[in-house]
Amino acid sequence: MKKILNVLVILVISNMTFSQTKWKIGVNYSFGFSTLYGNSVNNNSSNGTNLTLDYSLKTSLGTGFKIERKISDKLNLVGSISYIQKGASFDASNSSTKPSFKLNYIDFNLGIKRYFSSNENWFAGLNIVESTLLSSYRMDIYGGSNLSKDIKKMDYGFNLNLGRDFKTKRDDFIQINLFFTQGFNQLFQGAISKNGIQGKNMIGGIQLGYLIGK
Amino acid sequence: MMERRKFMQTSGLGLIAGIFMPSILLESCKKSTMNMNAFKPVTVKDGLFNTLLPNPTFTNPSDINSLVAQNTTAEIINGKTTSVLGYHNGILGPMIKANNGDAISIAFSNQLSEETNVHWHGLLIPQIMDGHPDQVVTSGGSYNYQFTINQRAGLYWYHPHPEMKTARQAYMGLASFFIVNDTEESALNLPSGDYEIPLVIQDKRFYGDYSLNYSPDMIDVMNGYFGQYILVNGLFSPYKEIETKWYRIRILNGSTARVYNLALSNGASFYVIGSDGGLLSTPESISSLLLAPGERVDLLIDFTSYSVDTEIFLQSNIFSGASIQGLDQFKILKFKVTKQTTESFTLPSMLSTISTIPISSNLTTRTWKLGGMGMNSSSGGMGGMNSGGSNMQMNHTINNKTYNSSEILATVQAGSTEIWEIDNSMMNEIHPIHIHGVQFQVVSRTGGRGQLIASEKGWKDTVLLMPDEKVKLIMTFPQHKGKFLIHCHNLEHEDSGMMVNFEIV
Repeated sequence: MKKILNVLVILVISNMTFSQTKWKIGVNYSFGFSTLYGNSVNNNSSNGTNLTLDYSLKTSLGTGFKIERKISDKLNLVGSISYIQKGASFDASNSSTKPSFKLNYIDFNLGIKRYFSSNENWFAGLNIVESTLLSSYRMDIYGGSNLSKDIKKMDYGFNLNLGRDFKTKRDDFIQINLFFTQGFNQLFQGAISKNGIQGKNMIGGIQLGYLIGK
Repeated sequence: MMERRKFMQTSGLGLIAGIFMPSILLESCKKSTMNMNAFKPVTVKDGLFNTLLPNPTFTNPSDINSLVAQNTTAEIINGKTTSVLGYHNGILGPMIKANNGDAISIAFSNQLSEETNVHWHGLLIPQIMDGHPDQVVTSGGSYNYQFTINQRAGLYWYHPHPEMKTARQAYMGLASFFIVNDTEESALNLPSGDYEIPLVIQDKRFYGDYSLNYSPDMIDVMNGYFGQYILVNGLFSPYKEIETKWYRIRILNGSTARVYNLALSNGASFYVIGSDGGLLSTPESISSLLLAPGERVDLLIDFTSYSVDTEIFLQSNIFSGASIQGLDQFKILKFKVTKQTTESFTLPSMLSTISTIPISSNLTTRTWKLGGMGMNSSSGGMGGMNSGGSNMQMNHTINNKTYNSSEILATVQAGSTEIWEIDNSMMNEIHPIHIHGVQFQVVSRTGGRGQLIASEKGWKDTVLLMPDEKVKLIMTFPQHKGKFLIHCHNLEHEDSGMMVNFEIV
């Protein structure tokens, strides 16, 4: 992960220092909602308990760096590194305490972006996503417990996005897109996994970026 | 009449809530979820009682190399793994069994992420070993608990006692038995080995991923935090295989707030032979018994007349006069007769000699008034509740004081005898009051139930007060000098301030 970060930083610095032709670099912020895709189970155990785990949405914030390189008239290569909050609220029956799985990741995205026309405004993108877990907690309004033993450190998935670039007077770009990211991994391990609980990361929202370059 | 009484009780609570908790009412009304049922404890869920309760494994204190407070896992619900706190691997801790006169040396290590300590509930030991909140072990730290047992046989126990963290830590699993034997008790040849069953009863809530849910809101702090699942020795819905013999059932109420009205499902009577501080003078036949958090009771149950395959439940019966508690009946443990056996045990007519402390007019009398429900805006801690952006906190008090580590409300002479009157006439709440560093006798109860129950006719360290009750206790303070505590053993009340210091000098 450090290597990836280093490479991206070098790319960003070199890009800022030298020619910016065909490159766009910048920052992005996101707001959205995450949840887990999996078994909203009705866990009838063998001795009569009847616990239900229902996932619901929790808010998610993210921020990071983005870099794009033009490879044809309508096609860009895109890479980004972002800190992003994932996880899910759960247990509507305990909603007064707002229980949630709070999972914080560094996401590395690599993919392509295709403009719908040569004037480079509306676009769609597809990325593969590698996610490295930074921290994980089961939270309620009174505190949290660390889930580092119960959540896998790595996740992989894909990201779809649809948005528009706005060119500023300074030839920079403001980028707005709607995004959706789906993880492939079953996240849980350890005690939670043994209990038959499953969940895959799922997040959607809006991303705002500011990129410089031509 | 019963329904009307319940209505009056809950209405009273509602009125109080309306006066003191406008923010919660406002918030609740917004959600259109506020009704009187909000004050009723969560309903206990019945299990299938198909998890075998294993025979107890007692540990000699000399075999305990260390006691480690740690994050661990346990199989509370059959086939499911739950993250808990424990003094060893799994929920709870080793069941320690020692003899009077034993020198105890236990190296305690704190591997939690927060401070903790160990209070040896009921043991008469030096103040510095008693687990006072002043003497916490920081995260990663250790402490050597060393003391000599110098008291009669009894069912004592141990649990954490850090300020404002006791309830959560005990709820998450830090507790276990400390049983003391002596020659007097051994001479009685009471049922032992597989026929002596210590039971700690607790109630828990779970989240959907089988993690323990301890999240008391303001109403939970007012009433106590009640669980939907009743655990016995850390297992939900267990059964115990028994033979057609007499059994010594030694029960600790390790719940944070729930009072149990213990009875057998077939209505059969049983004998209470001991209480917090050991044996009573004589066995007393009863058919139900109230047991409050922190209290212990020693029972003899005669299963000799039952046939194989008979199933009898230990259950909690409905009881009255206890505010919002006691409204439901629920099962706790199933006894399943699996073997016909010849029994030679006979119930002794005399168990022990309880020397009644004489009452004289020149004894110092102190009164402790139980109260609370005040709120302040301090941050964090028990009872904290986000409401309108401010963090409100509910308080419980003794003599209008919440806990202050440096404040001592009474100074008593070592070796002196005093009468302490505890007054619960101010509030419609249940308070099991525990006094550290001393065993006492309950002289009288006025108001409420108006009488002592069978288990209160011996030595006690915890006494239950229902609403409107006053109890008069008499005690002679031991020679262990220093700062000790009197507090409510409804642990949500304790952590919300219902605890004060007294000092033995």
